[in-house]
Amino acid sequence: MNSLILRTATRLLVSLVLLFSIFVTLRGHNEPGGGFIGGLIAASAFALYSIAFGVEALRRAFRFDPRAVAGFGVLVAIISGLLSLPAEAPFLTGLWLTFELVPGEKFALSTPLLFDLGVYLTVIGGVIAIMLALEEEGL
Amino acid sequence: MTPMFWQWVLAAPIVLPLAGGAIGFLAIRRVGIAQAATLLASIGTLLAAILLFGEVRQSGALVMQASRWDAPFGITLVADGLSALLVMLAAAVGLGVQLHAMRTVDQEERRFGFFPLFHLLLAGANGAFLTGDIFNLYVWFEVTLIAGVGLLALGQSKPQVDATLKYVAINLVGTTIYLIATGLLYGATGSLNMADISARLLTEPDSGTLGAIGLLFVFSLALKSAAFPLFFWLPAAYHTPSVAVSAVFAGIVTKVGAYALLRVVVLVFSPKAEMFVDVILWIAILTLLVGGIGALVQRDLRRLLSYALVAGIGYILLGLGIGTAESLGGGIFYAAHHIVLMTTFFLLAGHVAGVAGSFSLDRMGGLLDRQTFLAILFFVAIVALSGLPPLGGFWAKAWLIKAALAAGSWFAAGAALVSGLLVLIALGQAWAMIFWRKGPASSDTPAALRLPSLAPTVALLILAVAMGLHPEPWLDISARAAAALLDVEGYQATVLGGRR
Amino acid sequence: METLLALLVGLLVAVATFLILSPSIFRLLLGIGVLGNAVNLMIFTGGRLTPVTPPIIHEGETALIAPYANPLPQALILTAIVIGFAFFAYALMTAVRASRDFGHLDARRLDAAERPELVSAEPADIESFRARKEKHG
Repeated sequence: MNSLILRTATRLLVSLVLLFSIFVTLRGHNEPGGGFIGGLIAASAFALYSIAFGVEALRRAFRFDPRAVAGFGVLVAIISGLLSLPAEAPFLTGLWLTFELVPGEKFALSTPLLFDLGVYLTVIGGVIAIMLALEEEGL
Repeated sequence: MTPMFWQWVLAAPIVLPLAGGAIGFLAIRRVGIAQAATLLASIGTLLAAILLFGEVRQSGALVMQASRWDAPFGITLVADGLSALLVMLAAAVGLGVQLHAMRTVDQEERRFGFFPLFHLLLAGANGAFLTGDIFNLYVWFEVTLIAGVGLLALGQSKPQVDATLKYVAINLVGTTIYLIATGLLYGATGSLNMADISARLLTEPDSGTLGAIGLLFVFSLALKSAAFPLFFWLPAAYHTPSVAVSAVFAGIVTKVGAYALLRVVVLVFSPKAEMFVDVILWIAILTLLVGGIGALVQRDLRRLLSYALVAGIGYILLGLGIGTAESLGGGIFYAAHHIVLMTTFFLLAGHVAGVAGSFSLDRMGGLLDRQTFLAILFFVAIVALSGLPPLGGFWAKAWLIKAALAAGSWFAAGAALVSGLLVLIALGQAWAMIFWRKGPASSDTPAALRLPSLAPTVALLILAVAMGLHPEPWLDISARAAAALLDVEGYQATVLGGRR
Repeated sequence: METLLALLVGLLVAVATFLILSPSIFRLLLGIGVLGNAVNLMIFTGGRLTPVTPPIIHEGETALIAPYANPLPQALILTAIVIGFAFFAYALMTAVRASRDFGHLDARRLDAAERPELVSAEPADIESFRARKEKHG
């Protein structure tokens, strides 16, 4: 689509939406949100980009093969499950590491977070792969 | 070995192929890495599955509460005799097909992710065999299906696109109906854990609601396992993709549906199972006959095998339909044998087509002189499948027919015999057309197949033949799997009672 | 409320059945989409509808406070939506491909897999099998 308004707005929106997707993913740990919805939001940013600048531009901007990103996401999710192996707990058991970087402010790293990031990447990769395939089929 | 170790062995047949598939996708532009990773995953899965099987056989069912959420709240993985047996054979067959595929699948399909998809499919099938949660079973169905559809469409030839469309449409409807049944069952019982549901159904009065839910399950799972009258999608799809894909579909994917049917009827609906057993008996009888008759008229080798496969599903369901411990054991033995043998058969079909240049029986002939070894292999496979002594099909069928007669269902015994005869005639005719009759005079005569390319097929055939020549351990395994399947209270105690 | 939703589910399933039985593949896919939504609504209703608080554990608490909504149906529906979405996208891709290959989406005329001259003549991997055999002898 050749529209100056769309292209200008897209430049601004894509970065904003991507940032928002990360926010939603991280927030999802204790509140509504999470990797899946975050991944969809990020994918919609890429979809907007491909509408404004074309599929080829998206392919260049994304750099990686989307299927590889999806595979990486699944791998991250599996690793988050495997981390409970050394902890003598069943597969996928949630484990937490809590730091106190600033006094009074708890900062937690956990395997569910890692799992969520895996889901996030899988969804982005999967949706973009589908999108590229559909657009290339020449609708 | 600590209990924790065995819990991880229990998860391995799901985790390893999934990891192999993930690495395969990650390295999608480097086919070599994808191949190596998936091969390692195949070997690892087989080792884990053998360990798991040995442990389950020695000391009973294993349970893992994933992420330490106890049953019935979390997702439980359970390996009882039946699950462990199926996982082990699926892993063996998976490795065989993997080795075969590494020699035969063409570059185009490798680049589009044949190996990762294949492993996703194996992970899905193993997940379905091992899960103890009825909704999780739906998820694994879908994983299997998505990977399967991806494999089915890989070559993108016109017949494949057509077959994929039909396969997708009917299977989507089937899984959606399964989901409807699961949702209704959840609404009626308030649980998704299979052991928990069966315990709750004990106190539930018989009602139309439960009957309807059960029939929805039977309908969707019969569709998935290609039973009469919903089998048409199978011969319409299995003859189009590459041989490795047909083989793994025939060996593993159809068994997932049949396994789920056994599990749902015998375990989940154990207090109400009489409601459906008669229906399943007739479904099984008609499946047997329609598979045999269908096989007789096919002119395409893989379509012929597809109908023989449908007949085989009939035998497995017959074990359920007769509904005694005896018949279930026979059905399970048949299923185990069928996994190995059907895969081998489709791989053999690929070898035959490789030397004949076509899957069409009309264009084949005269291969006996040049491909004597292949002819012998094919002949042995026919003997094993159609139930001639002393190979595997015979023992399973004899057991089933004995159980049918003991239960007084003459019809079932008759259908089993007739179907076996029809399949034998169809396959015998195919053998005669491929190998025996005079071939078309062609200038390019491919050399005899060398052993390396045949090795995976031969290994699987040896496994199938060994199951027939030395059937005692397998008969014992199947009988014990059937007994464990019927021991619903024991299963409930294992799953809900926490760790053993 | 449950009755109303049950009727709605029934209506959606009826619409879906009508669409699925149509010979047009496009309508069939629409029907499957509608059916998926009907099922999700059904699972939602099956989890019982009650006016209570969302099932979120608040800051400082360790467990849910008594009247809370059933969180399970939502988890099930989300899973079903995800899977349905992936599958639907895939089915759509195949349909697009089919309409390009065959020039139509009429199920009555889709028979490429049934034609011996198309299927048996060019099986997917015979060619490469052969080529390699000639190379290696």
